[in-house]
Amino acid sequence: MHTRYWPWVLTTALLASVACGQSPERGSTEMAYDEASEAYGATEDPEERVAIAKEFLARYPDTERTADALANAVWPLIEDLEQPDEAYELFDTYLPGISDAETRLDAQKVLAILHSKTGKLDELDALAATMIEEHEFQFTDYLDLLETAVEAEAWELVSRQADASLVLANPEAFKTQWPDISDEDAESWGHRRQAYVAAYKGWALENLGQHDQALTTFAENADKTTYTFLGVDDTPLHLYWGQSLLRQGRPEEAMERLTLEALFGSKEAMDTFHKAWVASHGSDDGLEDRLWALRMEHSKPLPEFALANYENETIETRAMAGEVMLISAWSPT
Amino acid sequence: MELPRIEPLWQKYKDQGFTAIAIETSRDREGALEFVTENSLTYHFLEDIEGDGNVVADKLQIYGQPTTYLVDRNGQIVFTHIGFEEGDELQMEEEIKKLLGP
Repeated sequence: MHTRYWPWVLTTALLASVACGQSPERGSTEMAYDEASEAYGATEDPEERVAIAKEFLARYPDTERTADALANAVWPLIEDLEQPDEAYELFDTYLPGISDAETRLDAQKVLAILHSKTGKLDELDALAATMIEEHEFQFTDYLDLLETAVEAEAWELVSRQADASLVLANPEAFKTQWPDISDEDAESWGHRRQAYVAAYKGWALENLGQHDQALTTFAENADKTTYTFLGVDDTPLHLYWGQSLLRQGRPEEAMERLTLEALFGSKEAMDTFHKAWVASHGSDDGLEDRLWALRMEHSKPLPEFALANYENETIETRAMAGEVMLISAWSPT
Repeated sequence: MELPRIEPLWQKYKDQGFTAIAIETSRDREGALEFVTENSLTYHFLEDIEGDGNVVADKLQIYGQPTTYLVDRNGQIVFTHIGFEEGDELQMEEEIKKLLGP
């Protein structure tokens, strides 16, 4: 199926493929899924896409691809065709029959997104409880749920699940899961998870009107985050911190908090920076110049590398000194 | 998919000192070559295998795709594009022009 389905699913799939580093065994389910994916990708028509996904589901109602197929059916039903009832019907039909726990959890995550898109907050709440009871949640499962709850603006749920996930956001939890890692790494990763949770918790508090507690949550956890070499926060903490400050009528501080995220991170961060600028200056005037100056101040050098092309020639960045370079990471699937 | 949108930029600006590089991360050589051929892409297409590691995740710290870095003539990463939406290529072109300079 088209892989550009909801972002979290793509990320999970990418992480999984990076983690195992091998292509999956080509069983008949995989081959059928590949075929269906090709057909799905070949058409732009949402009704056709739904039909392709439904056909796969009918033939393979209980395989490791059933959750993906559900996502691929539901996505056009919601985004293009606005037929949530049909989407829900698919879950009524297929969710009970999924026997593999992991696939079942994936399918429940898609259902959670469906609830968030249709504003069914009570159902989302109940489903979250069911999921946590049925499965041993990994930290990434909490993150998926938190993201969905944020999308749904279910702030009570975000707050509660953020607190619940803290049990996995500490160095001991890391040591349990990966006994061979160093104490240093366990501490660093455990802290990063805490920062991740604090980002969601703080944002929930802000949206629940607890402004001071929100800012305190961000401030107290800011030194636990990690950063890419570009200086961008690995967690949403600085983004939500900036958004909270903006909402609290402190646009200058907002811009200061998420400068690097705006320059080199998400569009959301840039959008917030833009709004803060307008709030502070009354218009767009001067914004472009300011952003350019900040880019010049904060840009980092491209790490050197040398890789082979498909003619087995080595291409070195060193040889391209003085040129303007566009470098894009991609994969065909 | 953004890679086909880079081809016209490559054609337009390569004589002004612009280089375009796509790094394939899943080691799917067959799939990559198919894509390049189908879309008639002529800029640099590289495989992400540098010694024991990889460049995209380890050196460039790119964790999601598609992600694009734009580098100025001094080798500084000045613009990043995480994800891709229709129309982003227009902004990219403006950025490339700015980096190429007069």
